[in-house]
Amino acid sequence: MALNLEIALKHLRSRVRQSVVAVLGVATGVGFSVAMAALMQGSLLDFQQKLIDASPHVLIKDEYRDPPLQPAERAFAGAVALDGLKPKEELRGIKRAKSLIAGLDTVPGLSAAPLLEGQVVIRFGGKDVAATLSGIDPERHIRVSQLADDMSTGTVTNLYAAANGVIAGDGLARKLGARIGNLLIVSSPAGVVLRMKLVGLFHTGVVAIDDARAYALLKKAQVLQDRPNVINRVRIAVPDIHQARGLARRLEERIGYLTESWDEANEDILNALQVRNVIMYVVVGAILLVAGFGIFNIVSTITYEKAHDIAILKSLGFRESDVRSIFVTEGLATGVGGSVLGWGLGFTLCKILESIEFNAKWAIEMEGLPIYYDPLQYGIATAIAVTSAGVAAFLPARRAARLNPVDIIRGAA
Amino acid sequence: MSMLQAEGVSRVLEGEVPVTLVRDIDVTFEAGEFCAITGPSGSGKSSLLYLLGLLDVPTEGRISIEDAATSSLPSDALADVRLGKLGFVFQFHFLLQEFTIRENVALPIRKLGRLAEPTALARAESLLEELGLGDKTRKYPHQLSGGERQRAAVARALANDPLIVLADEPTGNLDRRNGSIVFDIFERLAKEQGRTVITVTHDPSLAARAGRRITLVDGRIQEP
Ligand SMILES: Nc1ncnc2c1ncn2[C@@H]1O[C@H](COP(=O)(O)OP(=O)(O)O)[C@@H](O)[C@H]1O
Ligand SMILES: [Mg+2]
Repeated sequence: MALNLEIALKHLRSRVRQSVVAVLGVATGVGFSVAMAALMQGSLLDFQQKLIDASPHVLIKDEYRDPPLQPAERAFAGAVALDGLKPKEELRGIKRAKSLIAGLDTVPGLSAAPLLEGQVVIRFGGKDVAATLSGIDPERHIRVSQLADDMSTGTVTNLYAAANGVIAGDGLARKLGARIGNLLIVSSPAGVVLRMKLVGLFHTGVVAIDDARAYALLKKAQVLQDRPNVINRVRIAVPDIHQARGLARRLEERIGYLTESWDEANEDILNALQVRNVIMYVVVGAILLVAGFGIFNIVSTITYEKAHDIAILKSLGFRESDVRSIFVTEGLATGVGGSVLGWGLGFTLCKILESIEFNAKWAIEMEGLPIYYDPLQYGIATAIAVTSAGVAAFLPARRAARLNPVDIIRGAA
Repeated sequence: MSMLQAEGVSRVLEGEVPVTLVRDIDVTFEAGEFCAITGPSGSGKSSLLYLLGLLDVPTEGRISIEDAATSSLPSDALADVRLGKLGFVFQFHFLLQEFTIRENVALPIRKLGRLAEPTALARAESLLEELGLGDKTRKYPHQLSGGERQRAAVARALANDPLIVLADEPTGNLDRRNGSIVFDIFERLAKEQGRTVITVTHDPSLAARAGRRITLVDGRIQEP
């Protein structure tokens, strides 16, 4: 085996330029796949982190997954279709919310907070901006959200300080042109109009939230929406976000209301990221395929060039499998050498990407490219590169192993 | 016991027009025998040598080494026999360019794996020394003259102490003096070490030095 490796390396050295090109081909493939994987994984994790920070881990809504059966449908169960039904008006809002939250409070590790969310239009200085206003219980809310950390100006408790205090996303405030202390005119679909004082600004990094959300005390929101004592959301924080999905499913089964975990709520956007991964794999696959051609090329060239050597090795008593292993080893050595070089290239690319600073807004804000370093990225890229190198070398190696030494020796004479 | 025996051996190349390389070869070689195969060009000398050396397989008849038939052996087993018992010298030296000549000679020794690496190299050096190349062992083939290269190839053929040495016009590319040196070596191998040496040659004066001569005409052995 050591002998076969020695012969293989000597062969590669006899064709320095082509060997170097093949090694560089593999290095490029491995380097770029490592860098792309680090970038993709980094941005996915960064994105997830920002989503998790900004979204409720679990959110109970005053809605149902399937529209409830109308009384008539219940009465005529089995009818093919019922036309012209007037649906029963249901009062929106989560019923028996107090006991629901009290129940959640008894579960160790869980925190729950009631909200009343509703659409409002905020007017300031002649500008009207639509926003979602959440009525919150500040003490509870800061336990289930990052709001306290996200405050860029003021604190959440400022809500108590003013008669009608409101906290807005910094993007929303910018759109309105409002500053701390300004009086905003907030009107709801229920027709109630309140003058509210801007007492704080927050910044989450998720554009959709920073540009279109505001917080007020629960009581004020209920007045504004004309829904006294009603809440329509319960926001829950769990100690381990991976439990969120299971908890949401169990809760929904128990209470009937639509209960979503953060990942379910953001499924579309997470799926879009998966599509991005597919594109990455295609690109990396193409690079490695090209690298495979490079290896096929060098190994084929050597098998033709070294036909005499193959004949003499076989006449000396080397077996077919020895000859095959010599040339497969040449491919593998190219793959391994290229991979090691590719690690360096990939790491360097990661460092370069990481150092690029820019300001972009696409669903979330990014100040730079988030890079995630993981040895597994290197391992996978290397495994793929070395495997394809082996396959690329195997074809010419098999041909070489089958060469009939007599034909070659005769040809030389 | 015979060292190497061919019984009713024929080799026909398949094809639209089948080509008969050799036919009805019956010949036996004993240990210590030095035999020259002569004959006109195209008479099948090389073909016979490849068959005797298990590089080619007869279409009819059988080849035995030390009375053991080889016809049913798979290619790996044939390779093992070549490695352990046979040594080849061709008209072209076929040394590996990337290896020094002592590494070339050590190659079959290392392949056989009976000796440790340093011992293999030491044996290669002493073989080269016997063949008058003691001061060139670390040179590469392209740094040697034709005669030196051919002697290195002979050393490689002897690397694993073969029972049988097969040479196909080993002096074809050598001048008279170097050709004579190679034949001196063959003579010694047979006489002093009891090996069977079979060499194809065109040169009648060299052939005359062999203890036995076989002449091929049109793929058949011609009785004297
Ligand atoms: N692959 C082949 N196809 C057709 N004819 C061949 C082939 N190999 C050898 N021959 C022919 O077989 C005959 C014997 O060849 P060879 O054994 O090389 O003779 P020698 O070594 O005595 O010159 C020659 O006529 C040669 O042309
Ligand atoms: Mg010939």
